[in-house]
Amino acid sequence: MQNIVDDSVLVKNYINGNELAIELLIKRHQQRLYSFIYSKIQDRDTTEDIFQDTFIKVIRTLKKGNYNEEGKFLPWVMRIAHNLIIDYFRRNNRIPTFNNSDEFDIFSVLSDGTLNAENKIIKEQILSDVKGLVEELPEEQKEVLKMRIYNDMSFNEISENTGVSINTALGRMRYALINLRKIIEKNKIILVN
Amino acid sequence: MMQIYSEKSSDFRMEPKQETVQYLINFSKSLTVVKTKSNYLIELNLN
Repeated sequence: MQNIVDDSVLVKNYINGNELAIELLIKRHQQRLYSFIYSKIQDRDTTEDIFQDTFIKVIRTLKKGNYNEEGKFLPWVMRIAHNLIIDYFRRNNRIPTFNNSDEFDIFSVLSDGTLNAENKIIKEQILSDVKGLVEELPEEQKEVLKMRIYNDMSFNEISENTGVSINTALGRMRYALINLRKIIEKNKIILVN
Repeated sequence: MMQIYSEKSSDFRMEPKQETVQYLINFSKSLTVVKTKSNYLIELNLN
């Protein structure tokens, strides 16, 4: 039976100076990451660039000791790639389109299990990031936002549960969203799937 | 038995070019991060 070293072990080894570890990580995940980028970009050269930029960012972050070990390695890498893809489309001021030509490949627009799994990973990562950002909010705003968004409570119910007027609850919700946007902008976080 | 479908050529494989992977390996080897006395991190590319 093959003895596969876990990603987290390879990451630790790399941070401790073992250069071979990053080679193993790249080769282990290259196909999945490359396919993911290509599925969005539909262009070989750009995919190659984004793949390269993704791992440059990974290498820099790991070498600087800024990697958060709480998350899994692959979802983190996919998230970086995802953000670079968004940047690419923003720079080019366009959304993905498919040319209706002889070269049009129907399989490029049909999703498969692997891509769905990747989208799922990204979505889970985004939801987890948002939860983390909510924790940054002042207590009173966080309370209202959680009741409204996660518990699906009406403002009337929130008002009864928190002992404040509906207007105060509405105001707290409004400021919670404004502050959340500020936190997202300040940290240059992109929350799009 | 007659083979109807041949294996896909390597061109169709969803993998980066070898040069790209090699570039990343070399980039990693050449990159050193040092911490200054004032706790700033400086990236040094040493070839």
